[in-house]
Amino acid sequence: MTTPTPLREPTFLILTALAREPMHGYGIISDVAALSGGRLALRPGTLYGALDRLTDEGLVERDHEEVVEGRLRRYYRLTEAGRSVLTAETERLRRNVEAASQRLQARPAVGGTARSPANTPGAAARPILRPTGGQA
Amino acid sequence: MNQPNPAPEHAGSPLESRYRRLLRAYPGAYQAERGDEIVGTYLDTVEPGRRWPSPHDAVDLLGAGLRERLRGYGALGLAAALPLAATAALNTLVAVAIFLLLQVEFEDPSFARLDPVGPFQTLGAVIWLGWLFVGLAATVLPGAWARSVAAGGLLLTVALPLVAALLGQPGPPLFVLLPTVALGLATLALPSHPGWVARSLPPLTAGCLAAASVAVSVAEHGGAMFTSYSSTPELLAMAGGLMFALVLLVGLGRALRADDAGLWAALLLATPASLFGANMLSQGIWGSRGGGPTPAAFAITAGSILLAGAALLTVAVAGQAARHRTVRRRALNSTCPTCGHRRKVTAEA
Repeated sequence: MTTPTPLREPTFLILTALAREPMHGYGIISDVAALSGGRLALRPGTLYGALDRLTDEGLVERDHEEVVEGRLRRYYRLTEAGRSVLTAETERLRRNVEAASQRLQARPAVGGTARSPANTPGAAARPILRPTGGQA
Repeated sequence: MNQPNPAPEHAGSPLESRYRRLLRAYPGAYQAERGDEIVGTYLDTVEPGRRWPSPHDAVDLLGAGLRERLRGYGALGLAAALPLAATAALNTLVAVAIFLLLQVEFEDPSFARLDPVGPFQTLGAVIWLGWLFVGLAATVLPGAWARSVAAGGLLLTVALPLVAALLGQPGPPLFVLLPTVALGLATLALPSHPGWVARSLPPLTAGCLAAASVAVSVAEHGGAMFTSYSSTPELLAMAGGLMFALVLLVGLGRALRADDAGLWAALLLATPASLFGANMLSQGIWGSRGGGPTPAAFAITAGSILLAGAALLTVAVAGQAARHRTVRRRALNSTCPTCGHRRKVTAEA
């Protein structure tokens, strides 16, 4: 399955959090914060809105629920469709990262500080994408 | 993973009651089904000792509740329209601010027969400088910060006439302030992650209007077409109409790509746009006295515009909800072309 449009970062991280095992709301919030290096702090109202949308789209479904110390914990899991969408998006991002990495490594040396393509390991195998003297 | 807060501290606490009160923003059925789960997650995330939901939590819950209600009506486009409406509102305010500053506030106060406030005709100059600052903030600051600055601009717009009255200084008239407050309210929904277009529009708008203002002055050979606020009703009515027409045009363009957010934005801005023309409309209906409508005539006209705007929005949401229900019912009644399965219509549908 392919994703028609790229996933937004919060959606991608929610699906990633659920990829390993079913999780409840607080678990997803903590995991998304950890995955984003503390940059993305989802709030419960936003999270449950996103979970409802993802459930409607068939990417996430309810797993089981339990009551812990008087609080209801409802667990969510990734569906097969959700796993396919996450796999496709991960592949798309991986291709982007690879393309960017290749171009950055193929950048011509500037002054004496950058590595010359000629003496970089594996340089012969990489295409030189810009002519010498061109702007980076 | 961080450990959630222990339950006993918050179970049945005033904090839990306050979260449950905010939960009323959601539809009743949703509250019954998901309320315990949502409140439980909030209580897991708050720091120990907290007694009130944070302002961010309150905004999150109220916003999520509103979105859930709109989702039930099939009118999520209205929520998606808010950032677009806010961007259009801010740029209109920037345009109006720079024009009124250059053409009215810097004019000779003797034209308006007012005691000058420093270099300006009235204290209204502070409001316009404030909205120019909001435009600058929307260009250079993150979206959340720009929203806070916009809230400051709105507060300034509301508070300054009171301050002017207390100090006995002249301020801008009501027919200018009312649409400014309405547009200011819309700017509270400025986008969290504005694109480069939204960021570049305020300086571009300010630059264009400053150039137009200078061009008007040059064309007048030093004359003064706009000498005071009383000479600007036609121009403000045109500004409101232009804003509405542009947003409607964007809305129609987006509607071709099955995106109705632009049309909802036009609907949201119909009221502030009409308020810009309230002075002219009032004079057209009730006649003028001393160069403008009477306060009572203006109040009736502005009140009618506000009521008509609210009614228009209600009818649009109700119409969308009816259409959404019909589409859902048809979908649920239809037979699967592959397996022939037919779902029953439920009460929820």
